Amino acid sequence: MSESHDDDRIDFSALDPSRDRARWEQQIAAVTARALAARRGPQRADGLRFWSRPGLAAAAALALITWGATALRGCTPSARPAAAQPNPIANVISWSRGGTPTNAYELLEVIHGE
Amino acid sequence: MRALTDHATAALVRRAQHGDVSAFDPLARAFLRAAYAVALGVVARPTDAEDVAQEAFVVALEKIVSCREPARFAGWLLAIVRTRALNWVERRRLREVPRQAQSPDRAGELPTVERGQVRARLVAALAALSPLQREVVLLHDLEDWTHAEIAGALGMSELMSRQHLFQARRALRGWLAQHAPSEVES
Repeated sequence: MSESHDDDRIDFSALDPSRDRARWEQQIAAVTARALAARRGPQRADGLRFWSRPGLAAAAALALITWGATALRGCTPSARPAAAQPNPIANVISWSRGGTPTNAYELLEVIHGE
Repeated sequence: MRALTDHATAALVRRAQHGDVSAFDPLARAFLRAAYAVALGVVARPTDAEDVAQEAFVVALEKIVSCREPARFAGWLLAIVRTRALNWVERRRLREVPRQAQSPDRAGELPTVERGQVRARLVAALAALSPLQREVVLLHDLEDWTHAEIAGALGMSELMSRQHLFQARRALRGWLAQHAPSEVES
């Protein structure tokens, strides 16, 4: 669109920031660089956010497998006969009666209530 | 006339919205001066206007995904510039009130007058205009925008843009004729 009042134009060239070409280029570069830096920040956060769900899912799956395996092992009848099962309390009693020291493993079992 | 058409602007904005950061540079080249013109119309100090324009432009590029109408990027950007410039003026007012209270001899000094003859006169003359007149005359006579472009960016009719320009120029010429350079520089 052509303007018919160009002769009336006020000369604002003294206020023109692009008069100093080098300085103006620096300003353009500064704006672009700052905008880039600002965009890269959220992108990193987005990356973490992107991987957080699969990470959580993998951790949950691993926990489920571990729990399942533990539960299955707990339900499986022991191959050992009941008589052969270690009885820590009996061991401690026999230790206190007979003075025979028990081993550290049995002692730990008693302490942990197993 | 703007360096970019609405169509070209919209294409660049869409690229930026889709993460193409190479669109930042042409957008800044096309619109940073306009941002400066609007900032200058509000803050009335060229160096401050440069800072405000840069800051506002960075913010605009940061949240460019929220520009719903890419073809109207200019109007969207200039609204951000205007808001930030007004905030800047408010911060400056709060900063400078205690300083002026401490030195009453500076109270009568024109806040817009800076060193430099022509520049200082223009800035002081612009202070006599309304904010809208300043935006229109700076976008037209400094940034070389057409009335259609100004009307689109500022949300007014082309006729209103022409009227504001006419009144602004008349007021500026009147001010410049009344105030000799020595009066402003002193």
